[in-house]
Amino acid sequence: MRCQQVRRAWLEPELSAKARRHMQACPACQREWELNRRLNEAFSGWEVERPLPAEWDRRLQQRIATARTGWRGWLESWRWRPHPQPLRLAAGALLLLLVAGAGLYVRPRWFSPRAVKPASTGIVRDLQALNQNQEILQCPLFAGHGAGDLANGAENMN
Amino acid sequence: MVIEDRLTGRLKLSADVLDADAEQMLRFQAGDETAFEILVQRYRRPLSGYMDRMLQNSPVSDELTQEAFLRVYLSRRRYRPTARFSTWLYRIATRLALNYLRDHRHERRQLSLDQPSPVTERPPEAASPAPGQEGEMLADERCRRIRRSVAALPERQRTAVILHKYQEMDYRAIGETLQISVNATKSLLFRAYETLRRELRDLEEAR
Repeated sequence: MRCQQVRRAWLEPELSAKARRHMQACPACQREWELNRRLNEAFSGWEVERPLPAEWDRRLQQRIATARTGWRGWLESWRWRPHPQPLRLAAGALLLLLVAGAGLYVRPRWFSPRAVKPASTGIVRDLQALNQNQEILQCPLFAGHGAGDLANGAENMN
Repeated sequence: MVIEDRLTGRLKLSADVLDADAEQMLRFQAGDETAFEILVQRYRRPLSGYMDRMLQNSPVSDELTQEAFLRVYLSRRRYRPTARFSTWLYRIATRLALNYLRDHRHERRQLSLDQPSPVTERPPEAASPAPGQEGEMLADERCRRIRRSVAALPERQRTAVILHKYQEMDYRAIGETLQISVNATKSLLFRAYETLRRELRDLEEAR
C-alpha cells in the first residue's frame, strides 16, 4: 500500500488492517499522522462564537416584508412549480394568446409587400430602345420625314 | 390536513429524509409562518458561524446569512423534501458565499495576509511569553496559520473543509451541498488536508 493511499484512507471512519500495518512501518506516514492530529487541534481552536447584532432579526423581518410585496415576491410567485394551479395555467394561456394575437396584428404591417422593381430583361430593354428611337425621329431634325423617307435615303446612299 | 396529505400522497417521501426540519418547512409551505420562525431560530447561529468562517468578514456574513433565510422564505413553494432541510439551506448559503468570494476576489488579494481576521483573530501578542505560556502561544499561532491557510484554499476545498469540520456534515451531505459525488468530495477533502498539513509542517520547521 502506498503512502498516498494510506493518507486517503484516513478520511474513512476506520483504518483497514492493511493501512495500519503500513503506518507501523512507515515513519513518513507516522509524521503526517501526528501533523493531522495537530491540524485537528488547530481546527478546534477556531471559534467564531459571536452574538448576532441585536437588530438582526428585525432587519430580516423587514427584508422579508419588502421582498414579499416587491418584485422578488412577484417573481417567485411566477416561478415554475411542479403542480401549477388551474388559475395560473389559464392566466398563462391567456397571456400566450394575447402575445400571439398581437403578433398576427402587427406582422402584416411590418412585412407588407412593397412595389417591386421589375427585373430588367432583354425584351424590356428592346422596348425601351424603340421608345428612344421614336423620340429621336420626332425631334426637329427629322421633322417632316417619315420612316419611308429614311428608307429611301438609305437606298440612294447605296 | 395538507401536510399529511403531502406526506402520504403526491410527494411520496421516504422516511429517512423526512427530518423534523423538513416537517417544519412543509408546515411553512402550507402557510404556517411560525414554522419559518422556528427554523430561523434553530439555524441562525450555525449558519452565521459557517458564513463567518467562509467569508471572514462579519458584516458581510450577517448580510448573507439574512439573504439565505430570505431565499428560503421566497422559494418555500419550490422546496421538495428529497434531502435534509439543512443540506438545502447550506446549499443556498454556500452559493451566496461562493458568489460573493468570486465577485470580490480582487479586493481580498489586496488585503495583507498578516492582517488579523475581523471576525475571530486577535493580533499576536508583542510581549515575550511567560514560562508555560509558550505552548499556548504555539497553539494560537497554529490556529492563526490554519485560518489563513483555509482562507487561501480553493473555494470548493474551503467549503468542504468547513462543512466537514464545523458543520459536522458527512461526505454525502457535503456532496449534496456542493452538488458533487461522494468520491469527488473525498478527493476535495484529501487535497485540502494535504495542503493544510504542508502549511503546518512549514510552520513547525520554521521554529
